[in-house]
Amino acid sequence: MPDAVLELKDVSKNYPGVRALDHVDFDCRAGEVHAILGENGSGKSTLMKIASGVVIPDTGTIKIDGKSVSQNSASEVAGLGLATVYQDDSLVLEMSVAQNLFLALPRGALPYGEMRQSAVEKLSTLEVDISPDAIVGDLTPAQRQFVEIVKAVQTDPKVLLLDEPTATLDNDGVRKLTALVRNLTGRGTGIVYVSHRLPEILDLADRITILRDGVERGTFPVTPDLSEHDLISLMVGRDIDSEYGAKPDRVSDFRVLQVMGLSGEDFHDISFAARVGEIVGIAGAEGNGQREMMRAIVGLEDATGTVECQGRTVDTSSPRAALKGGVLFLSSDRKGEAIFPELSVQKNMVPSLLGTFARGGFLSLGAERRKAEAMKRDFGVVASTLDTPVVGLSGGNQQKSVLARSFRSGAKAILIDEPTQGVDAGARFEIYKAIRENIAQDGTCVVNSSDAQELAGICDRVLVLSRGRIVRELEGDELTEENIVSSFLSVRGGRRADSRSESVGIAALARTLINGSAIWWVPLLFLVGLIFVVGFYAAQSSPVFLKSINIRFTLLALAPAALVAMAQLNVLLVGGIDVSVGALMSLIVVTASFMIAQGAPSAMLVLGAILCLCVGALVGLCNGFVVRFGGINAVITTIATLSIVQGFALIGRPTPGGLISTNFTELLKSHFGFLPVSSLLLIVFAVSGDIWLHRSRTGLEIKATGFREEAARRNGVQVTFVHLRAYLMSGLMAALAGLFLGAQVSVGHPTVGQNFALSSIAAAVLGGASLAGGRGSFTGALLGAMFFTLMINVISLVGLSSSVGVIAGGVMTLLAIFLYSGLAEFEHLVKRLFRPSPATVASQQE
Amino acid sequence: MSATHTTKSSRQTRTGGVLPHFAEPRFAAIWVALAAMLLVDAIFLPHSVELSTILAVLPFAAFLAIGAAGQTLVLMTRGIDLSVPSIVSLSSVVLLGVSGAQDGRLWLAMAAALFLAMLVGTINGVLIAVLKLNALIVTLAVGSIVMGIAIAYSQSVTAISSVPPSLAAFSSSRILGIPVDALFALVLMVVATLALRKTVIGRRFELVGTNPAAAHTIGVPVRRYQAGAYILAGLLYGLMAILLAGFIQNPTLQIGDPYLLAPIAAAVLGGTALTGGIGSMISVSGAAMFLIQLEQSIKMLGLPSAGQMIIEGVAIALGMYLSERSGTRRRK
Repeated sequence: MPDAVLELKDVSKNYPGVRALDHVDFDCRAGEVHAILGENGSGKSTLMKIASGVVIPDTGTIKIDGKSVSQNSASEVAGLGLATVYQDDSLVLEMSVAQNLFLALPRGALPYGEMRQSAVEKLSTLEVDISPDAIVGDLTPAQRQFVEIVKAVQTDPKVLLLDEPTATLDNDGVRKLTALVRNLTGRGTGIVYVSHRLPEILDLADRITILRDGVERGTFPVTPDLSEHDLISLMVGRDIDSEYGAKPDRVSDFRVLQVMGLSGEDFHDISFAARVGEIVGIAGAEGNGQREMMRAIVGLEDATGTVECQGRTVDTSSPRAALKGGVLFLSSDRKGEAIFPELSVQKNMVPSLLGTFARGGFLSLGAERRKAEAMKRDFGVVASTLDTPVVGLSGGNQQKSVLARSFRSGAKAILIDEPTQGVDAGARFEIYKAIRENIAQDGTCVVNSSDAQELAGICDRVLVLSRGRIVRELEGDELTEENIVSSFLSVRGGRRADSRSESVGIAALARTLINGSAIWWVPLLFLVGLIFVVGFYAAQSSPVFLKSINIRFTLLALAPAALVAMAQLNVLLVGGIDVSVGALMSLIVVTASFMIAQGAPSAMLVLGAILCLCVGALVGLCNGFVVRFGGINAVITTIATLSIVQGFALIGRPTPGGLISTNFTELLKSHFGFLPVSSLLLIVFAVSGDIWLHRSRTGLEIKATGFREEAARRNGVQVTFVHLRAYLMSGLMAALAGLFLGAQVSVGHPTVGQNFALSSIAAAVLGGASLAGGRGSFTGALLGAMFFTLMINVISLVGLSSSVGVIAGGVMTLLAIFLYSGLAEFEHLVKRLFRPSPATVASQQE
Repeated sequence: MSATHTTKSSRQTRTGGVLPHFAEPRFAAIWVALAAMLLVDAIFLPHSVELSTILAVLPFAAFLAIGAAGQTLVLMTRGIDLSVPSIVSLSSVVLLGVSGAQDGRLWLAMAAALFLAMLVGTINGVLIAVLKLNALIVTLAVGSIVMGIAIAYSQSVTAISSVPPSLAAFSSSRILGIPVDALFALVLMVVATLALRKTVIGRRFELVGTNPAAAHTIGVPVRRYQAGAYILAGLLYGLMAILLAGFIQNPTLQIGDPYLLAPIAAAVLGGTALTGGIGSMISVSGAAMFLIQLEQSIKMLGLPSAGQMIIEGVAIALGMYLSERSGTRRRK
């Protein structure tokens, strides 16, 4: 028998009030697939987390490849040869497959240039048919899962943890995954496989361990006579709690809610009805479209199909419209989408009733109070006062508050996602009772829950979803926890719905443009074209434009603008922003007027310049520290810095004055023919910056941090360092820009830099930088700045007033951010506007 | 009902509801700071707390309070507005141009100034709330465009340099010895406070600010409220521009310059949470008085007036830091 590559002995873990794992033993041998089977909350994810070093067990020992784990850290466990395949948040969606694989390798393990070749080899060895150049975000969920696996095994781990790897896969994907797993076991890798899907497990696994309520219920070798039914009963095994209230007999068959042919990206052709007084449950393994389907009914997800409430068609374009039609959704993401955390219990309960408290335009506080007190009593909300912020309540009381709000909103059909998530046992039964009471008259309730026992206990009917389709409907005596679990465990068929809607007309063009901007040099072509058009126009309309003196003047003006745009790019790349660069430039000009004053010895020129750069570095570092460690957002931080830095500049020179050394200014303005030395410097900066950014591991780490900080961190990138360095670089380069600006104005002008904050952002964005981080190029920033400088030059040459330049700057900025970040939203709006009416949709459904 | 459900709630009790909202710690802090400064001034700079001095600087506190009220509305929706100086400059230059310094055209000029201020606010609001563009860049860019228009327009009306005499007289008049601008600001603050706390619209606005996603799921038209904040803010900046122009009588294009950062500082010091929803117009007015008194003290000490900017910057950062900390502590 091969040696165990992973061995957990006597592992226990307690969470407050819950025994997640109770003296569990588990081992996985080289070359075998050992599956862990258990319901939601059975402790299997805790076991996985303990094995991967994310969670520290209370007792027990862990051995990987025969060596004991001492510190229980993720990095130690990885070093010993254990790799985990995460469900999400570990791939940078905006980068290519090869880049993601490279990023996951330790620094220095592979030269940057061999990234692609190495990816090709790894993908082909494992027979994964994905292009290394594909952007991960464009891949199907199945392909992403394969990339995750390839990424995890590229360091040749002894044991691989796969957590629900088929949750998002279709049949073909499952088949390919099976092949991949066999390939790996053939090489001697041990695989721990956690899944809900019994047929797959029986197909793949060599052994199965069953967990229930944190206790190991046995380990079985997979043999042909192992019965599915036995496994399920071991896994479920609980008696239905008699505390669930009796289900009342149905009084009427009136259908309050009727959903017909609802299809979206994650679910397909869903039709069901919910009658008066009925609780309909939605069941399924996590990630099979249940949640998305519920959300689509109120317009929180895009879908086609018809929804009727009390016989009338419901407009499902937005929650507001759906509520008018009588349908309301209550999210499972309580903090994100259900409660208003900082507001009082009362304010959380009464929003939909506000209109009824108005007396002559003003709210009657007495009426509101009385209503809130009644609701608090009716729903048993325990809070010391109605003015307690709702976030201070227990999960159960928060949930009761929002249930009170939902059932008093006037909606007849209430959709509740995970009604008792994070709610203690006592409150759960009160919540069930409240739901039952409040729909008895004329309402209905649809409940999505990952807890099969809960569904069996409270629902009159349960619909089981698998891969986005209703695969079973359970009612009456059939409705048991065991039947619910077995119907989503044993399902095999059912193609995953894939009805990504096509964009239309202008929007399609827009999408192409957005996609184009994903490649860093596409905006550059666009900009070069723009510059030529403007230049051509200028050459036509002004004889002065092409004179060498004008070109030299324009190029000199370009230096500070381009340097500050590149400074800004550094922070934009990591998803930050620096509004203080303009004020910093002013401060540097002022500093230069003192330190590099006219008549100063030449040694002073060097010292003064160094001092100026130090000031820049200091300001940049301050920004970085406050943003990263103070937890204040970059906008406010740099606005505060702007104020402080501008204040110092004005203290130094309340009015423009103080000549900067002519030796210094002439040095910075020196030129070969009509070409200033500064322009050469800019080209060197832009090219070397882009090589650094787009052709080195450091650049890749910067982009990964900007795109998805969490994923970058999981791949071992020192994200805090990356951020601090970005702000430092921004300060340094803005200081350099300030020196060039000083060379131009040659006096200590305290506000000379104030317009550069906006133009730096605009130039970088025009050059392809994204405000969300991750995208952009130094050449792009240079060209963006060039375009701006050119515009200003042309405007003055053709005799337009300077105000036109100011306006043009603003317009170009708006256009740039609209093109690169507003188009998607615009497309969405257009789509909403031209949304087909429910009737036409119905007729299109064949 | 078992006692376990109460958890921390009893310890989390706040004074809100029993006492007016501005007695809550985050809103009360600025009053303590204001009182402390007045006390220090009374000891070391007695001249700065004389009634005549206070009455002389009160109009400036009033202007700042009105501007800060606009900024607060925007911050309450988790946005930011950097177009304030441009809107103020445009409104005052249009006021000059349209009125032609004649009393007869004053109403028309004021209507034009307010209309343009709200128009700019509407553009900001649509771009930010509907198209979901970055508030900082939109307001900075729109501010640049508006400033360009103001410059261009001012070049066409160079002959006019002062506001109509009746506006000048009104803006510098006093009722019962109190500057009329301060009374005007007071009325605005009372109206704004009532609107925010005692009307359906105000309460929905609070929901949108506190948690836009949750507001959306319970059917509040989030985009309309967010855009509305910029429009109302525009109106407030316009009102402020008219009063300010009337007070200084010969407004220039630089009239708006101090109002880029000071309203943000006042809003933050007044306890406005950048995480949205939470703000008090009354406390923001207190913060405006605090900042103006501080400026006055700096001047009287003979320190460079630019020191004010440094203090504002530190105040913004410190105020934010404290508000973030109390916010995260409460969220845990």
